[in-house]
Amino acid sequence: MTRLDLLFCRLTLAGMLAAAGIHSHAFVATIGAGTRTLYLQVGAGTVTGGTFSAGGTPGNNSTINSVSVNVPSAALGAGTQAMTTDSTVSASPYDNFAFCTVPAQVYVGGFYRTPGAAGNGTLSVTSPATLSNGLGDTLPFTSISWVSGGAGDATATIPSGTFTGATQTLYSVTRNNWFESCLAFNYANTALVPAGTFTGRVTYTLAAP
Amino acid sequence: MKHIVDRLVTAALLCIASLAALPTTAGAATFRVDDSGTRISAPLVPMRWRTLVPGRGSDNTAEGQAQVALRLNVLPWLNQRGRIYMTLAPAPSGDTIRATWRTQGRLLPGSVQSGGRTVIYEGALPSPTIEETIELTITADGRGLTSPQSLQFSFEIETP
Repeated sequence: MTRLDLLFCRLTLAGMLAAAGIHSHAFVATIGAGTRTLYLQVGAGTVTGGTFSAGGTPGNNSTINSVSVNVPSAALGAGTQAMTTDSTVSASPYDNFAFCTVPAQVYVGGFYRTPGAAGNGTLSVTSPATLSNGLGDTLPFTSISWVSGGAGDATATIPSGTFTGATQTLYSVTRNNWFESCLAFNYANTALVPAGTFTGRVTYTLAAP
Repeated sequence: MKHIVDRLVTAALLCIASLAALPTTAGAATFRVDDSGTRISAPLVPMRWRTLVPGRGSDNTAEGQAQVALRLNVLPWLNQRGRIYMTLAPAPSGDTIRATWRTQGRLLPGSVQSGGRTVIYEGALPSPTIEETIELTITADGRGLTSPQSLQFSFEIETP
């Protein structure tokens, strides 16, 4: 091939390459990272649009439920008294499964949603050192314990335990999984105490790394 | 003069032969299609959990949507028949990404997995360009989406 031919070929080839789109480029879609979500329900909760498994959306609920027990004077110091709750949550908000027994148990559940290989979330509870009747008399919070369960759960997710009067870790929440348990509280009732209504508030916290 | 014309014709044929043997990815008659006129609606496609709440069995799919105004330059194959594929390069993270699209009828709906390709058009090419806006849905395991990543889509044509 002559020099003329080579030049022609080069020009023609370049033109045909351009026409054929050999120099085309890919279009690019940049996708973002996933989002993080945290949800904890202790007693009453809010879900709109059906159960969570049906696509419901969790919302805020400011209700603070209570557990209580009346100890007759004849039973003072005579041993464990089961407490009851004003929570009416018996069905799992996840799928409406009949999970807890009310008024004996308080529903506790939630999830920690996160992309990547982040560590697990942590469920903890903080209790004050004492319950008080407002008259200067107190009961140690360590006198209150709970038994964890839930219909169909051979082993409770949240372990049973006793308040320590401080912050204590209850459960390591595996990311991207729903967790739930039903807690039945008991008052140890091992001592004679002055008359009155003793109250104290505990706070459950779900934290994520 | 005729001698020069003959040589030019010969050269042109040689060039065509060279072009035909050039860049193919899946056989001698496969070419990249110029899609440089294609535009995507969002520079960053947000990925959201398909189910906001994880199940006990865990559905961890995250998905995002975007509109893509496709413009494929098929001038080199005008009035021929061809089969056009949409390809999705392997994701930078190595995770499996799936793209599904709906069309308005000129192109074929379908889906493609990262590292693969799927037919998006098959038939005659009577126009120099194919234009259509598609609804693109991208899905991935949300647990792997730790940072933004760019997905490379491209087009290939096979001619008989």
